[in-house]
Amino acid sequence: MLLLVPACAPGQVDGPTTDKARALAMDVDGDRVFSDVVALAGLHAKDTRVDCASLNSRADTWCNLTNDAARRFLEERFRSLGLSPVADEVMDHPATRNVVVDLRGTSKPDEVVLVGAHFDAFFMGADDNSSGVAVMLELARLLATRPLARTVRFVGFDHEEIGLVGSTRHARGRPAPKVSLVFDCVGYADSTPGSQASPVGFPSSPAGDFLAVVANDVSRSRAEEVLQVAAGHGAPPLVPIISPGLGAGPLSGNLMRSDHAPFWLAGESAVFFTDTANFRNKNYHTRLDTPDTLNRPFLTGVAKAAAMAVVAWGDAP
Amino acid sequence: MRPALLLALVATSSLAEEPFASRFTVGLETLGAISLTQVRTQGGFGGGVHASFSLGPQWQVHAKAAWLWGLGSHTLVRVGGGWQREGTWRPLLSANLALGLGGALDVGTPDRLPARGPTLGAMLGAALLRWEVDGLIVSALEVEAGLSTEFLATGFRAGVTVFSLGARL
Repeated sequence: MLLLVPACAPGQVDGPTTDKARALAMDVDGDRVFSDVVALAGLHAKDTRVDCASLNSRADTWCNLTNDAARRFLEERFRSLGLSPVADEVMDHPATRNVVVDLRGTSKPDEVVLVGAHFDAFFMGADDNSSGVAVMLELARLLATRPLARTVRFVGFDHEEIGLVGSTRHARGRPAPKVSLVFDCVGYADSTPGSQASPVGFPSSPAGDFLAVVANDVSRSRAEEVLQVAAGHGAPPLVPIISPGLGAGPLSGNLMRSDHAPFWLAGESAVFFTDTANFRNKNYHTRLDTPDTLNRPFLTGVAKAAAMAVVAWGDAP
Repeated sequence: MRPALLLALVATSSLAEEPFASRFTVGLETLGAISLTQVRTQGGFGGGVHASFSLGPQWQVHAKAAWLWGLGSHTLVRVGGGWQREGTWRPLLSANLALGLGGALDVGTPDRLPARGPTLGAMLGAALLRWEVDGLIVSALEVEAGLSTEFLATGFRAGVTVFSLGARL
């Protein structure tokens, strides 16, 4: 009798893969991650602003949106790792130029684990989203010399702030990845009681010291895998938030505010890492979103959690 | 179908001894409901059906099923009983058990995710704007509130039936 039992059920990661994931996370260089945040924030501060009139707004926030210098930084860093980034350009208004680079899988190259973060930002954008870009770059550094079984696709999304434009175009234009991991605002933490706000209908948390691992019903098992491999192994406290269905319900809109949303709406599996942005960080979308406001140990822990998640998804049988 | 038929026959046979026309009422309602605990939020707006059986002029048992959308979609089943005033104005006070099946927002405790599953609740309700005329029962703004659990934590459950229309069979 042939027993058709999968090697590892969804929501469970096998022992060897878990061990490999945790070993890789040990190599995360927190100083490097933070120095990338500082570099990116400095580039945003000096970069040429996006023409806010073309966005039908002259509000201060919209007139301090930048993307060009951060994109070039991202491309240069990928090249320095021996990778070959491709500019995925769409000229329709608003024009977007995502940065895409594949780290080809060793045994299952047709299966893709996508790792993404948007590189456009308001003002210096240290938390939103230089922190996410820096974590993505650290994963690229760690994996560039240690490819996984599946292909890892790193994507710098353009113009998230305008309305998830780059990620929407990316999700529509390519075959579905096996799973996507998106970072947006992953560097701010505050353990002071009362520092964490919650949307209406969400349970309240006493302090903003956790990383939200946001999934929907499709990607729920992926969130379970993140908890399994990463909880208690150098990651900050991980709070899973599972949105029902595809996540598009009218009462769960706050969970759809970043680049994972186009993947959710396409019925694909995607997990979103965030410090909850404006529900915790009072500097969100202001001139005060600067590197010195970030929590370096928290940011390092997020990079470790991300490394463990990507190895779990990219290398599991 | 056989138990239902038997119940109907019993009810019909006893009608001659009762001052009111029928023991069975069925109807439609539109409502919103929410169950909120520390790890699971389930709720939404929608509509449903209800049926009741009178145990006498003032007492009834009832069952309700509703389909709600908001945080995903879920089915809300309620069973219970209550007391209602005699006359045209028929306010109803009720006690209900509620079972929510389907979509919900789950928020785990640090490093732990609750298992998929239903929510269960116990509620008290009041339907003060409720009238019966010629076997037609109309009610508005029924409210109910109580406790809810998803077997990990205990929280709050509430609902508002915006409008309900029933008819005696």
